[in-house]
Amino acid sequence: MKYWFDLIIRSLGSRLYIGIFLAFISALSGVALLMLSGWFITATAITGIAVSAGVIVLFDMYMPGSGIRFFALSRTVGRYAERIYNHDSILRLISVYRLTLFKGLSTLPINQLRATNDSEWLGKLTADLDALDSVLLSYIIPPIVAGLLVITLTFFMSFFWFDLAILLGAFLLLCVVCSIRFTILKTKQYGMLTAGLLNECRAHIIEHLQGGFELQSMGLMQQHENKISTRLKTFYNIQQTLNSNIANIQLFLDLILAVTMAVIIYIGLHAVNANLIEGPIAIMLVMLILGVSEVLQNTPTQFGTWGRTRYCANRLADLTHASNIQEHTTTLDSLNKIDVNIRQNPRVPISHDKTISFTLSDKQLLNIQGRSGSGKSTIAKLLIGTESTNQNNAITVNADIPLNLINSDDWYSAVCYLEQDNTILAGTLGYNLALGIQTISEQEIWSVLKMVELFDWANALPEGLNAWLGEGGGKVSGGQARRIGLARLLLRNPELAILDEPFNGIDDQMATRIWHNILPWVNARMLVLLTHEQPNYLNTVNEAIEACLDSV
Amino acid sequence: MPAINNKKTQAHINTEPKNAPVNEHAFTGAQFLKQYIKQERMPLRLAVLAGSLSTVLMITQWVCFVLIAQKTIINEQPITDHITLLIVLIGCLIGKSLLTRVQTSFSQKASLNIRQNIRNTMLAQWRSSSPVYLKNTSTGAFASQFIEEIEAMDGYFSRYWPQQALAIISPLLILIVIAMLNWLCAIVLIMSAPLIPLFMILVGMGAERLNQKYSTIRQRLAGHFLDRVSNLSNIIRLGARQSVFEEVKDNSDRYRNVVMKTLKLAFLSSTVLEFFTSVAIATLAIYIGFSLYGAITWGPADSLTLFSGLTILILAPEFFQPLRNLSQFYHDRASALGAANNLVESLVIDSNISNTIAPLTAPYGRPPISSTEHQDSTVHLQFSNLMIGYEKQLIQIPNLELKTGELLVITGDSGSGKTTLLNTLAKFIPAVQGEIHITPASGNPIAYLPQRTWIKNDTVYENLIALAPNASNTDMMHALDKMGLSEELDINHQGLDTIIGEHGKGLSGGQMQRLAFTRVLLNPTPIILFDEPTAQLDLKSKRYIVDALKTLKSTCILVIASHDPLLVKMSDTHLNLNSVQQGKR
Repeated sequence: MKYWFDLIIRSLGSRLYIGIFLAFISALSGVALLMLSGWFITATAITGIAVSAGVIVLFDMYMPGSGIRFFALSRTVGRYAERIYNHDSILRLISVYRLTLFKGLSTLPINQLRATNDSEWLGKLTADLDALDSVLLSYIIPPIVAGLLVITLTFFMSFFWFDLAILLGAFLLLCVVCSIRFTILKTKQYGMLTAGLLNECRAHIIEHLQGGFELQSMGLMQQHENKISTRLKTFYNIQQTLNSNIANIQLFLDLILAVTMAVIIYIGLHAVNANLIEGPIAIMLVMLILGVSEVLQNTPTQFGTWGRTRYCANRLADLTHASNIQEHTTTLDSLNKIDVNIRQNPRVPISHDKTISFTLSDKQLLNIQGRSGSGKSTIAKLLIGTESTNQNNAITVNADIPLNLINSDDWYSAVCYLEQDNTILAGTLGYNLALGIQTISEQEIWSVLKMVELFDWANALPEGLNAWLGEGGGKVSGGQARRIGLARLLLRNPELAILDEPFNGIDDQMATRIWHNILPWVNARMLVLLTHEQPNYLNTVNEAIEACLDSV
Repeated sequence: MPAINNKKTQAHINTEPKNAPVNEHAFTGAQFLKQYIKQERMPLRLAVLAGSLSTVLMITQWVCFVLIAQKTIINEQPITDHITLLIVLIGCLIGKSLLTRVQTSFSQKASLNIRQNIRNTMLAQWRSSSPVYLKNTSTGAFASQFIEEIEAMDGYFSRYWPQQALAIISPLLILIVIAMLNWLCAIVLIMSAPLIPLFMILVGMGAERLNQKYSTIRQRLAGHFLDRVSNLSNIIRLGARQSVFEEVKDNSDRYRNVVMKTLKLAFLSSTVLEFFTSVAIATLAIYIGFSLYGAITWGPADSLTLFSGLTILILAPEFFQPLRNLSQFYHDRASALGAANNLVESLVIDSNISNTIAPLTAPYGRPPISSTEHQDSTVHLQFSNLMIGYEKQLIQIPNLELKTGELLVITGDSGSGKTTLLNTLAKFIPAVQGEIHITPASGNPIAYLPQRTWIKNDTVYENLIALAPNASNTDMMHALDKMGLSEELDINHQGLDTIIGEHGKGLSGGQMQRLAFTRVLLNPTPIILFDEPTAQLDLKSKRYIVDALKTLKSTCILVIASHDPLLVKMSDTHLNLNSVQQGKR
């Protein structure tokens, strides 16, 4: 939590103070409008009576009148400006949050990143980020504004009745502090519990639905719901406690403010009786309490979310703090040889029975064949470093450097990988192709598109390379996405390329044509080609080493 | 004795009761919400009543205060003469706070009940929908609906709905009091009140137009961050980390600019409300002040006293307060409606599906028949004239008969209908034509092992008990032993409380499959369906699986969809779907 407070103060800087100032101005105008009106009406009533009684009184009608108009306007304008300004700040913060989180995530070891493909996880991430809004909007601005308001009004009232103003001001400040402390104390634990329970429920629901086939055929669906129902019941109970705690604190605060109001009414009017203060001032005091109460009343609701926000903040903090993981520093200048040894890997069934071992060098082409589930992708992930290596799964680079010691940036510039799944980022076609490449000419992109037979398609797009792909844009077919992924690699010049089913979803004839087109690129580097079965197009190359992962 | 007769007739018979809930839900989101509000009408109305009463107390409180003020300030009477008024004032102050508390507790209770009801409806819906169709939507999306979207409705039920009524009742009450004191002031308020919604609508329309104008770019920018996070490993591999940092930053800024443009206009609507509140207070204050001073003499100005003037002044902001609250809660309504529309959509789809499939014959929650009961009774499974599939692809299944102790292996290319046949046998898809007879007739559950093994992120015990509710701990240990799992999972160490990681992490495919088989061994049904049980297995696991199949075979009918030549060799009947004719209706 402290981390996020610090981040806000650091990244917003003066914006934070200006935002608080604007909020303060609009709150002050609201209270001042009430106070001045109350004073004005009482004062005019008294003067009016005096005038009609024939007493000559000097009373400036216009000064307070324009004061009222001014406050009416400044309240409205202040409120508008404050909302615009602070929402702008929030959006800036979101930007900061996102970047912090993104940087944190990107320094995670890549083998932990595969979870990020999980759409469910992404949903949680968004929800957690959204919850952080309340740090600024509920926990920072309102209490500071309330404090400033009380102090300013105390200062103002001290001109009329010093002792009472100081007492009242101190008491109201105490109310603010206590209600914040008390709300956090009484709700934090429940808020965190409810957030945790909901999260558990979500996991249970997912499991429940995933088990639909087994459970329903056995008629056990309802029985399996029990766990969800129990969790939900606990959740409802705790949420009820949480809500009633907030409501009780609200009641308590309301009562205190009500009693304060009654006391001020009594003291004020009594003082008028005793000629200590004038009538209009007494009314103004009551209006002050009325105005301040309205501001203070929101505290329990605002701080009632503390537990939930804290829960989210903690989860995000885990991700942002990941950056401390040390990066391996062995540099890699060039890559000329790779040794792979795989034994007893649970995801490569055949490795239980025998060790898989191969060496790749000299721009060789290795074709690994195997059915789905035979462990092709696992081998690719070991090579690329997504799957961590150990003594059973050893990958040695240039004869003596273990892969897990190599600086990852160096490794990724030496190796490229076409995954089994197509990845199209939400962006333009050109962006998708040139991602991560510093300088590239449009001509190069077009020539690569020609190789993967996408030239005509791209040429026919109204926006050409600027056509938007992925989410929020036109969809590409599976075969097109596959070829875009391939073209992305063709624009690079790695020493080792790993292609996992490069022609998935592309018919044989086209696959053969494309393979022929890219042969110069293929022959210029070490290549690991992972396929289901013996690919037809491979006939054109004689020197391919073949390996099969299927058990006979 | 045909146990499962033609699904079509069954589906027909069940049309009536099944249709009812469909029609009930075939509504818009707003109607859906209304329906649930009806169930909680009492507490919600009580909440409104408490809110209205608190308005009455609020008015009384201020009237008392102003009376005291008038007497002490103008009439210069000592305040001690008006202790009764003061007590009423304090009573009102306290009563008002208490009533607010009551209002909150009623509305929150109602909201809680409603959310509970909606969730129960969803659970019941899932219970009666075929898992084949549930598969079409991601379970994550369903979970979000179940958790977050329903939770987001809280504000609508507990805040917006009661406030809707209070936004009319409270201002009216206040208006009546003000009108009694000074009709001109009441007219000023009446005039400004309807203007507010008018301006809000006008501004809202403008904001909506602006919103639409930027919607595509907004959508793209909003999705950008998540898109890049989900493709992060790819970005890192392509060495684009730095440039994407820049991009995330730039896009967030552009997003901010676009959103601010819309917000500037959208905030105007609440500013209109603020403006009218402020202007009305200022106008009234000045009018009252000048009247009291004697500067204004027209209209009912003469009748104004400090009492009536101050009352009006204090009540004026309270007149607008309920409206301001309502506009503050307005986004609760929007989010609840959005969530309700989503829910209605998914519930209606589900209902349509449960219409087309026969209801599951096994009554829910009924303990499965233990295997011992069936050891002496032979079960027969018979296909007659069976045609399965969907509109596009219909498959005629040859007539077959199996009895306990027999193994049917279904082979065929992917897409030839192996899984469809299993799903039809499991009653998840209706047969297009023909019948499946099971004798003796009883609502027997059927154990089904789909291709993707279902492993819970929980203890071994929980994983087993979910599908074998009657198994004892000793049975479990024994069965685990038999599948060679107790040693491998180190179950002896922590017993059945050993936790299996998320998505079966830490288990190999073979181990997961063996765990699934352990469940079946613990709770075998007369007919058991397997989808590719030996695919992707290491040799050791395969040995255990084949042994388990042999054990099960003696007491059950096994139906296996598989490519495995070993299983085909074991089978009593072999059905090759490649060679059957693609039927026509």
